[in-house]
Amino acid sequence: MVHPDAVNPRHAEARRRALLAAAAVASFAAGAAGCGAAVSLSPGDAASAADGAPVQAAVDASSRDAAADAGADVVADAAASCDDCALLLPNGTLPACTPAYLACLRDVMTRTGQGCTLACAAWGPFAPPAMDGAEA
Amino acid sequence: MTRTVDAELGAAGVFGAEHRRLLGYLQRARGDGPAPETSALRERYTDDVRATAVGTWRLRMVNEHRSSGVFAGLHGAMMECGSAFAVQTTVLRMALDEVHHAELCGRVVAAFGGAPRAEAEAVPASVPRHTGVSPLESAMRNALFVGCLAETVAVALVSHERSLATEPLVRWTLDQILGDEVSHARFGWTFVRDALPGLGVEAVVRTNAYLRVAFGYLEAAEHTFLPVADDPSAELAAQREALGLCRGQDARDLFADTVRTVIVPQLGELGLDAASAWSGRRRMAA
Repeated sequence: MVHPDAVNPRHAEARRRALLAAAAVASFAAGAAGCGAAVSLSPGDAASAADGAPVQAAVDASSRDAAADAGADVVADAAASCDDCALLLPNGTLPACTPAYLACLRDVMTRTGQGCTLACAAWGPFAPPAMDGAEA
Repeated sequence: MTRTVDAELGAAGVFGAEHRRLLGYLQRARGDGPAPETSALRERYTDDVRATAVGTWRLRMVNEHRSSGVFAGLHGAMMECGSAFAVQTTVLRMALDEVHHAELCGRVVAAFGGAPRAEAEAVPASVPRHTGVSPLESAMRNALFVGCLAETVAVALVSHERSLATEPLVRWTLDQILGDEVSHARFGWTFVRDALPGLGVEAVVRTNAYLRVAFGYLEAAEHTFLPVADDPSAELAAQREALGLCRGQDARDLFADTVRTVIVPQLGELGLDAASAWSGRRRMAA
């Protein structure tokens, strides 16, 4: 199967930049930061580091180009079948992120095949696991 | 029992003023510009797309707020291992960053007409005190998971969404968050690179074993928040992308590629057998 990003130039470019950004932070070689040592990740340094990542320099131009691609027309989503999720989201007072909420979303998505109200929310960081895999 | 996550609670009081003062320091240091105008945002998208944006950005608000607890817990680990004050300051700043991210996500929720408020699990996240190892090795494991794994993946995911997003407020928000995620990831890589060599060969063996757990746990956590659904129409997908809403399968693929092509090789550079750990990761239910 051909990956969707492989046939969409904008997606392919976004993907390339994303991996480049991750590689830039992982290969970052700063001064000592460990216990008993000094570190210089001040806010200013962090901003400079972010700006200096190879991916950052190239992002703006193509994203401006991409602005023209955003669909302005309205397309009716079959989101009526997401009512179950909507019931769980009455004006922000619902138990977002609780196991019950996530289970409900998974159930609705399984039945409807839709992303419903949940898209990517995996920015983290999540709590590190203990050696037995349990959360702290 | 739950706890309330409310991005607007107390904003007008004394603590709200202190909160804005502290964030002002950080924003001036980074040269952040003002947020774009949002008055017409609600009229620009269909109800369905708007509802998706509200739900997703609200969940991001909750998750970012939870992440502040992770860094607050990491601060305790850094104190216990006797890290430099500068390290502790940096970790506390990262905890503040995450609260700020939650506030930024709440601003997007409000811009789409939603309430930047939710109920979440009662006990906030923290970090484990790994048993049977020194405080430094324990702190190093946590820095490894948070910075080298989770935040490095976050850099890729947020960068991808930022590249595709065209709605000015969303792009501006992703700009703020991406800059912080970059520094959070670099903190982890820097700390591990500095701490691991002094811990000895046995610690490397133990860390390889921990990585099998960490990779499996990370994959389960990522997949929980990267749901896969049938493809929407091309036009609907474009509207969602404009609002920083990724396609689940794309994000899962990007996660796996980030691990395989970035994280595993870089951990290998540090002397860890991350390739074996990834291929032999302990599978966990999402």
